[in-house]
Amino acid sequence: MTSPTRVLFVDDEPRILDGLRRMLRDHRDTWDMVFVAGGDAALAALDDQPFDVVVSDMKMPGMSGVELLDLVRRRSPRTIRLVLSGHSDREATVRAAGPAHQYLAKPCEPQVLRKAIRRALALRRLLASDQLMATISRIEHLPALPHLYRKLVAELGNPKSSMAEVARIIGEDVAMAAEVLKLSNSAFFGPANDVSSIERAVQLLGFETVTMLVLRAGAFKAFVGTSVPASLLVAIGDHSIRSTRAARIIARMEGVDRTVADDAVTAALLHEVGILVLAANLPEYRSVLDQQEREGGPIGRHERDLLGTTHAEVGAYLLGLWGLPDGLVEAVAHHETPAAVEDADGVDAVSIVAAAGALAHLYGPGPFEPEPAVRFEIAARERWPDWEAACQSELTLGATR
Amino acid sequence: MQIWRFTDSSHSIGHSVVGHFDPPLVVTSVLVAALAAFAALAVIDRIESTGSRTGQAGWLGLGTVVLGGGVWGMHFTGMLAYSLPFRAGFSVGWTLLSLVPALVGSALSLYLMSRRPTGTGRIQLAAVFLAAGVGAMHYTGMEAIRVAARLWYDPGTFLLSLVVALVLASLALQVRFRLLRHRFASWVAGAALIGVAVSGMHYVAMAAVRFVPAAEPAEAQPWLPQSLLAGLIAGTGVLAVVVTMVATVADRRIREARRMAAEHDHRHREVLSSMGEGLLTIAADGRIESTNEAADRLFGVAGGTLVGTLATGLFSADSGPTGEPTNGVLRPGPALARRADGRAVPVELFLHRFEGRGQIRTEVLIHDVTARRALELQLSQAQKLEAIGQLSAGIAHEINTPIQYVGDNTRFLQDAFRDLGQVIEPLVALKEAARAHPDLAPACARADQAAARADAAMLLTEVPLALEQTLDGVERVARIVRAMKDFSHPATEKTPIDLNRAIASTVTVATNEWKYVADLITDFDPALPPVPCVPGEINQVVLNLIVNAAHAIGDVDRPPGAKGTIRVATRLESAHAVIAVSDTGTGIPAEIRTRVFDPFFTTKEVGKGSGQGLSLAHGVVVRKHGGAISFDTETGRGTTFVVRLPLGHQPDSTR
Repeated sequence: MTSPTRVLFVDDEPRILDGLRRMLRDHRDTWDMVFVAGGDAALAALDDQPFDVVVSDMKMPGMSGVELLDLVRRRSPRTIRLVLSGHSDREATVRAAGPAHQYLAKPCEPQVLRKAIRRALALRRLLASDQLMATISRIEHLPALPHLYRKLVAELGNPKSSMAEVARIIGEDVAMAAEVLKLSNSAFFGPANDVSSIERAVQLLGFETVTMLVLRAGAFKAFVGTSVPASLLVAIGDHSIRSTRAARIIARMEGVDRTVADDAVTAALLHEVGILVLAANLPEYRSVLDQQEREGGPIGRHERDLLGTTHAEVGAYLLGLWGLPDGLVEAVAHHETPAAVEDADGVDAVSIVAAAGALAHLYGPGPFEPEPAVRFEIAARERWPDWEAACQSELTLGATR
Repeated sequence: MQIWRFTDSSHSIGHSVVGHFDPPLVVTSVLVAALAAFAALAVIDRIESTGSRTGQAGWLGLGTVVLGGGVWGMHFTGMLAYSLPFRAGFSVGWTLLSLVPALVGSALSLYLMSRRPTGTGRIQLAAVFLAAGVGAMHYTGMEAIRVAARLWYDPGTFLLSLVVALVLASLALQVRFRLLRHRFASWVAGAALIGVAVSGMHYVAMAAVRFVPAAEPAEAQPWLPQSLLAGLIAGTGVLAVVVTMVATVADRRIREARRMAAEHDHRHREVLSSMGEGLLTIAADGRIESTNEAADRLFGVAGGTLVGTLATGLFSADSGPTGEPTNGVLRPGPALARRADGRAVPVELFLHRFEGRGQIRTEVLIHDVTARRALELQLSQAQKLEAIGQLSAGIAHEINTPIQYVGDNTRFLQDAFRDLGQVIEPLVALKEAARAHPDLAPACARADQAAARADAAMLLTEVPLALEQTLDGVERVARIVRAMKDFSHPATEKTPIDLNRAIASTVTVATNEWKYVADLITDFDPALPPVPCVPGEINQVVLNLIVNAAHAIGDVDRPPGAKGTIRVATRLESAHAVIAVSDTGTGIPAEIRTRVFDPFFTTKEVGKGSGQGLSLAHGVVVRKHGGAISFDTETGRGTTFVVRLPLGHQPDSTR
């Protein structure tokens, strides 16, 4: 048996720690749990011994959760950092987006916490796998997190931020602003948007969506002028927008949490980014594309054949590197293999993105064939017919616009 | 042959005496005439610009006196300048009589000059009258001379004097009215020429005079001392001139003042009728004397309807929705204006007392503050929501922490009890097995007793249930806290939200309002996209509609235990998100349907509603979000309120 996973819980309220300790009694065999009150004690514990996971409260006297997790990130970047906070504001979520992999709101049921930790560990294992690492090591140019995105996240964390300020920041990058406006007006946001300014876009679509558009615009821009064929770039851009539309529809239908919805939509927008990374860096990716063209079938299968890894994993690796939330990274990593997710139950970002990508392939001019089995692999497979019905008309409508 | 005083050139009149002229007085005489003429010309101008007939006649009279007096004054001043070697005097009768032709000539001449147009013929005729008047005056005036000598005229020179008068007068009037364009220059030149005409005639005429000393003494008639006469005459002339000038200036001032007054009056009326504020003028007895258009509009009546009514009847005190009578006194400050249609309009009154036409009146300025009130209300509501939002975020945090460990501990107890059960089970089996052993029987009996005392069987079934229900309760508290936080969303800017979820939270928060009178059904359209709105405000609107629906159902007489139904639905309608809140309540009576969105209008009893809910909802939906709110109602069947929020196609109405 491998050594138990070491988990550190940090909270300023001792009763919370006691409650967690009692509730997680069942895990005493698999998890080595330490409970400490406050950031300083946490740092002392980390000095003693490394931890695989840190679960911290946000609002604490002295050192805040954000500060603590930021320090943890710098000291041991491989440590998984989770927030468990009673301050369930959206702002708090955004603020934590920097150093935290995931955000959990109090009250949090034990199975949610358990699942979050287990899935985070699984994702780390996947992204550290030998095959993926072998491929990644050959990649010279990984696009950097768009600078504008970084600025926006910082701005959203500012409690005094306003729409006007956000709009101004985006407006400073004219090319990016134009791209964001183009995306805002594209069909996937629903019938006839008339978004004429960035400020209006923020007002109509929300901070998060506009930030997401900035991310997407920045990620795609990095591949313009590389060896990625222009036609592939366009095809993937189209496909990702159509997938995003489908993801929005499904998330809305299922009434999932806003965090899940945001993760799913952003993941749908970026889920094929790995193809671009591979096409731009690996000369032999040409043969993957050729083989796919000859034999048909989903691209991931051919990638696995020839490269030992897939664009899903490469994309997830990139987004994980960018510090995007775990839910999103996981959804990208498993968009062709949803069944591989541990503890998958109900409608989460993974199943939404997998379904949305498959539906966008089915009902639109996709670059590659979908994995036919995906619909049977998603956890909420019984919902598929409803999703298909809802997306079919919207996607075909979108295609004609 | 001799006619009157003319000498025949062939006839010897004997030794004649010629008088001498005093130069300063001669100049004075010319000035008198010229000044009089100047004044008369000024007067002519006044006649021209005076509207009324009596005014014209008055000015003509004044001009006549001045010009006639001036001619007369010139003559006698000229006579003073003329000295004879013997004592001379003037007959009072003749002196006064000589004024007549001067006045008549002046009057006729000025009358003609004042007529328009000033044609050559008319001017010529005026000159003839002027010359004739001057001539007649002169020779009549000469008759007043009382000296110890006989007065003769040289006929040629006599005729020449008349010609001089006519020619110079013609020239003067032509210059004044036809030749010179510049008004003041023509005035001065004309006046000077008239002066020259009058004095020229005089001095030429004097050249025709011959005095032959008589043997007989002068007739015994009243004499006037020359100096006194001259003083009087000159003084009269000067006075006339001064009066004329003063009158002219005064007249111009009066006309200017009148024109300005008329202009002011016009402007005043225009301002009154165009101003946004209502204005009432109230007489001392409290009755309205006049209203402006804004006041009529404010009270919703036709112009003039309010005149004669008591002003206090139009207002009630602004003390909330009840409104107290004003006790017959109008006070400055906030009040409610009662419209003809029964609506009350919040206003602010400004009172101004003034005395006019012998009465104390009050002017009441009425400023309609409806818009301001609505804004204030909205603002205070927004501030309230913001405060609640912050507060509930804090409360949520405070509640969520204990919920976390209450839940954790309860789950721990659940697991622990289950595990303990697994420990107890073999122990019970052990006890049953041990019972057979005689040494252990008492211990087994004690264990049975303890189990019976503790009612162990009951504990085994009830404890898991109790823990289950505790967890249920914890979950419910958590849900309510989440809903409360959702409901009081702290955003103050428009932001796209999941309307369905927001409404679901609002329904949860409002549960206590409806659950005793109604079942609540939600019917949400899953296709609804994110709706850009200020979440806290829209939640408040939905809450108001749900509370109203519950109240409407509560007002229905139902058998005990029977409940009504509230249906809350959303749907996507082209470019709008539509929220519909229906109830099976009493419906809205027809007579108040037009007033449900009025601020402060309520039919609810005191304490149940402030009458601001729907008015605020209207403000939030229409003004702030550019949407629409309407209702469909049937008395006895129920009401459906429909809110439409634009999804982003309309230009933002608040910016």
